[in-house]
Amino acid sequence: MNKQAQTQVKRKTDQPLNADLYKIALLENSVRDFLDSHDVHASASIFQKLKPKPYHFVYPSVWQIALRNLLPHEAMTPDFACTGAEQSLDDLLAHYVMQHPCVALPLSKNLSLIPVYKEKFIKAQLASKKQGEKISRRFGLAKSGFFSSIQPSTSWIYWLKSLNPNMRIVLCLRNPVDRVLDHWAWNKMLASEIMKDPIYDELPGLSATLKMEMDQTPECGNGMNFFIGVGATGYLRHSIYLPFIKELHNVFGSDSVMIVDANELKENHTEVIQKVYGFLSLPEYIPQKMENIGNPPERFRNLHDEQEVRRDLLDFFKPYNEQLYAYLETDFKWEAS
Amino acid sequence: MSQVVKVEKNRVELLEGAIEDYRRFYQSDSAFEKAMLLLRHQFRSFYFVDTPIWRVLARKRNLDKRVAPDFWLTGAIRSGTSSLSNYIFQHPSVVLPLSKELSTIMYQQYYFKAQFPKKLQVEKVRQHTGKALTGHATPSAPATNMIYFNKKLNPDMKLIVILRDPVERTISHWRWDLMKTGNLRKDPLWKYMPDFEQSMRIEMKEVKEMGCGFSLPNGSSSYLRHSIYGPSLELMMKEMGRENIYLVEAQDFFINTNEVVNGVYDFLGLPQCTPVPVKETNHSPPFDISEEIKQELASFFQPFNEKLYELVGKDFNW
Repeated sequence: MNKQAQTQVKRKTDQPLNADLYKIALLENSVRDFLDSHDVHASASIFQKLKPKPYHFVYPSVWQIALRNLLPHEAMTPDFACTGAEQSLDDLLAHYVMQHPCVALPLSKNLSLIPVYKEKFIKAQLASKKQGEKISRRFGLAKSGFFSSIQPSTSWIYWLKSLNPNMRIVLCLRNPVDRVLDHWAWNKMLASEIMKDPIYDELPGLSATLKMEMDQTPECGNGMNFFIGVGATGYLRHSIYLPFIKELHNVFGSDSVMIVDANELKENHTEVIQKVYGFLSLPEYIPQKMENIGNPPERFRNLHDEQEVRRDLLDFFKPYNEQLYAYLETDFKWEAS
Repeated sequence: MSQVVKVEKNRVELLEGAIEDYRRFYQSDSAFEKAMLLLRHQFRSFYFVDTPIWRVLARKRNLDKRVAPDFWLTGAIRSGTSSLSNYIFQHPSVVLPLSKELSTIMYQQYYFKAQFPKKLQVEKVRQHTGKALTGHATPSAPATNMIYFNKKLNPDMKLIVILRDPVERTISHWRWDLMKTGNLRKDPLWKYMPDFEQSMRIEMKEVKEMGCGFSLPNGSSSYLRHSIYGPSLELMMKEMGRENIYLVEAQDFFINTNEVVNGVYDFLGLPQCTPVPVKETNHSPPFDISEEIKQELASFFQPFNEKLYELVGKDFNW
């Protein structure tokens, strides 16, 4: 990063501090490494996945978690969670929040899901007290966060509560149609090697899958997503946001939940992120612009099918969006975008 | 079919033993017993579920000598698939796969194909009993991907779909999860996880609004949606053909076992055979449930059941 572009942080004492450039570079490189690992030979990709790193964009190596679990690693209690559904731009939100000098980095943005149902395995992936003390000494304050994409899983709301019943939650909501199409492409990218296997020959393509889900979802059927997202829940159900928000409000209280519109985050990141910092009681800081991260590369998209199904998806989501707007008293104008 | 065949006693014991060990593994508190069971698990001739990967890899080299499955017994988890599978797999004309269930994690053609017997084994059974079939009993509903995977394995595959009273199935699913996650639930991460009644009330509200529900280790999306059978059954009919699907109502099977099992044998074109009763080893642990929540669940499922009755042209009186 250009040194001239260094961002300024203000302590409560108004004494300006430089941004943590090492951390920002780490965040940017983690995404690059991850995307590169899908562009290289499979064996190189495994090497990438096993390589020890202080921060991983997606799922850290299991051995690294096991090691942190074995060695003394007292985790900070997470003060907040930044989350959303897969491809809701919660990755971008997470990296803006992590970029703040007072936020201690977890081992990964997306936690490993293999041993995830035990507290010690989750805590092994969160920032340590030692990291927190170091940050505190330098910037006067340290906070820890949880950043995985957990929407729409209801179970995760209760697991979060166990980590800290008083945590604050920042939830990123994206235009449901764009999110669904990116979820498909992202899944395709992650599973591109696996899906060359002949067993996938009969699986319907993008447009047929989404049409099938449009029929099945209102009848409470399951969908087709796998590999990423909340298992067997469907691409469409990941974009129906209201039930999850209601349960979040019910468990944490509506005052503890902040909703971020992904479009606004993309277009007006400084203002949006500063509001998020304020909500998380983080000191004033002007965030460094970050590229949209975690977006699936063009070659994994099916533009012809996307065009065909987009109109139907807009119609499908309209009633769900209207219910959401009414509940949150906010019109996200997703139909117009 | 004129030929009558007889069930072998050791086949029934093999089937019962596979489930028994699986259960013991989850219920045991003894690390030693678990280790012993895990060791035995490496060398079974038939698995209930979770075939060790090395066994599959060892069979990978002769995939072209193996047959594709002729049938797939399915339904949602805790619908009675395991019990019914014990009756189907005991038939002497059914050649056992390596595992009752295909993995629902490892989606690779070789992994599926390696589970099935060699052509030679099948031919031997055909010569002996006049007919030979193989298949699997993977309770994957309501997930949709297994429908397409099975279609790829054999587009003419016959399906036996078992449907259980949704309230009973949901309760049994919860109890089964309690057994599988009993130790896990003692972990501090689970301290706020709602109990059965709370969970069901949350899900009833969420499922109607197209929410997700509880995604727990066993059955990854919502207890209630696993009991809404219409959408996945409709998709099976569309993809595999209605004429290739045989429906079994679980209560009917539990009460009139021989009659129902003979119906399945006929559907599969198997020689006549008197099924041997199988020990019920796959039951869920006991659990107290109030009549009130049962009533709420029954009302919740009623409209979905009515749509199902219309789809299949039969009233199950749930």
